[in-house]
Amino acid sequence: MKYFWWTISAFVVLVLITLAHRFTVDKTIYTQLERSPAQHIDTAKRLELPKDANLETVFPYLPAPQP
Amino acid sequence: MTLLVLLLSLLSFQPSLALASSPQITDVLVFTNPEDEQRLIVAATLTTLDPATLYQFNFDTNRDGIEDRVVQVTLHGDAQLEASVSVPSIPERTGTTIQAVKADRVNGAVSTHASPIVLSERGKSIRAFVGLRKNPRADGTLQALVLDLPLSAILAEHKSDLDIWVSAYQQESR
Repeated sequence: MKYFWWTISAFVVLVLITLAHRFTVDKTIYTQLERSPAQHIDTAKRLELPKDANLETVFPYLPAPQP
Repeated sequence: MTLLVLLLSLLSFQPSLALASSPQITDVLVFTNPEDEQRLIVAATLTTLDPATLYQFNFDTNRDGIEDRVVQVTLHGDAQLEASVSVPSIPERTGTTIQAVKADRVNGAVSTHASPIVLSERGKSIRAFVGLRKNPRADGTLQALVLDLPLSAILAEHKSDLDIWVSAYQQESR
């Protein structure tokens, strides 16, 4: 009986935390509209830059790729 | 009785999804950063940026066709669009229906000349760019979502194979 009210208080706090978490977490469901094909890469090998792409125009903060 | 059937049918009615505005992902480019081989660049080009759409970069690290790490990009604002980019994180839901990941996000402007949005994951810098760019393969312009991130943010040390794709999602109608 000595710890009765401590136990009850801890339980109430736990319930409040659970409820707060339940109502604050974004549970919105998103449904897929579109998906690109998957690109496979092996990062251990040097990746070739796309030959027909002028990447400088897409990535303004990167230097132009070396030929 | 007829009224009861009508009421039950109304209660069980599920509104259909609004699929009218397709974001049209036109291209996905993946390559190592020319300045640092330990960093990966993933770029998606789109015909339009839709504030109602959630865009997701998917990284499959074990070749099972299921995303193991994701980076989510959402847009908000009217006159001046702003992008919110999440750090790479493990998704709670995968596949065709997902939820927003519980991960740190950084906001930045969407603009042709905007500075990249800089995030930090385990002390390593991640850069993201969202905005209009020249079409890298033809004349004209395209919207671009670009990530420049360290391989260590998505791959375990002994692994090197990655499958990467970009997908677009719309909030489910209630």
